Amino acid sequence: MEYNFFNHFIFTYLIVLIALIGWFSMMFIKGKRLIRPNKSKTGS
Amino acid sequence: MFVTRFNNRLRTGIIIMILLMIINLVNILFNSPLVPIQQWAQKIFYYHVPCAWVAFLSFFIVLIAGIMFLKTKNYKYDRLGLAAAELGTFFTVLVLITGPIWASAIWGKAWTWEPRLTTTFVLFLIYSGYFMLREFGGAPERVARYAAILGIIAFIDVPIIFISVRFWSPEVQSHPQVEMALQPTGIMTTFFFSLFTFTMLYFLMLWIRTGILSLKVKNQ
Repeated sequence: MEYNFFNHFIFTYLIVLIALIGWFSMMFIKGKRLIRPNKSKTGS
Repeated sequence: MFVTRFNNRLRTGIIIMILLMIINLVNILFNSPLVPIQQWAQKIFYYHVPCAWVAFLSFFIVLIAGIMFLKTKNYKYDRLGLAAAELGTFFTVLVLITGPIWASAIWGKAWTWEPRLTTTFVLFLIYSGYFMLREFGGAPERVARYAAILGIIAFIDVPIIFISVRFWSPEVQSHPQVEMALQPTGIMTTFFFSLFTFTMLYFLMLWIRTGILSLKVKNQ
């Protein structure tokens, strides 16, 4: 009988997905921190 | 104004990217055939190979940015080189993680010191050195110059990884590559769509990262 490697695939998919979500979250936080000083300059 | 325009484009880019990733996943799950013996493990390649492709593309951009920086001394190329090096390393790490998951299913062990795996690991180590240089290299002008030179030299490893399957004798190889062209159409269509999706994702990430690095310089 052939072994079903579905778990291996899902594991791979989740790793790629979590890494990408992590990267985008990190960039979002970095971007926000950099934009904030500009906002305070205009008084908004 | 700049931030608003950047935000609007960013939002559009991210929405398009999420849609592409969902279509890609549906394609992989339902529109590609299961290969005998490997079954679902083969589908790992729809993520593993595109990650490797964008990593190599990224290191090629580091090479071009390095040459352009040394030629023009324009720091926008230095920022591009740094952003591309970060993304290249990010995708290399994904390659080094997803590869062993496939290998543990098919080879029965996660890692062997065969040429392609070893040279990819060496590439990761070289770029770890690149970031150490960026962090602890001293004066920014000197760091930028050295990083550009290291980025150019480090690229030598990329063609070595690519040809490693043919370069070393077949007895020490465990990698599939040459048979890829002989796969049925269902597999190739999904594979090329995945390659396209990851390339688009890469350029979106590069655009975001260079944007943030430029913003950082503007704020200083």
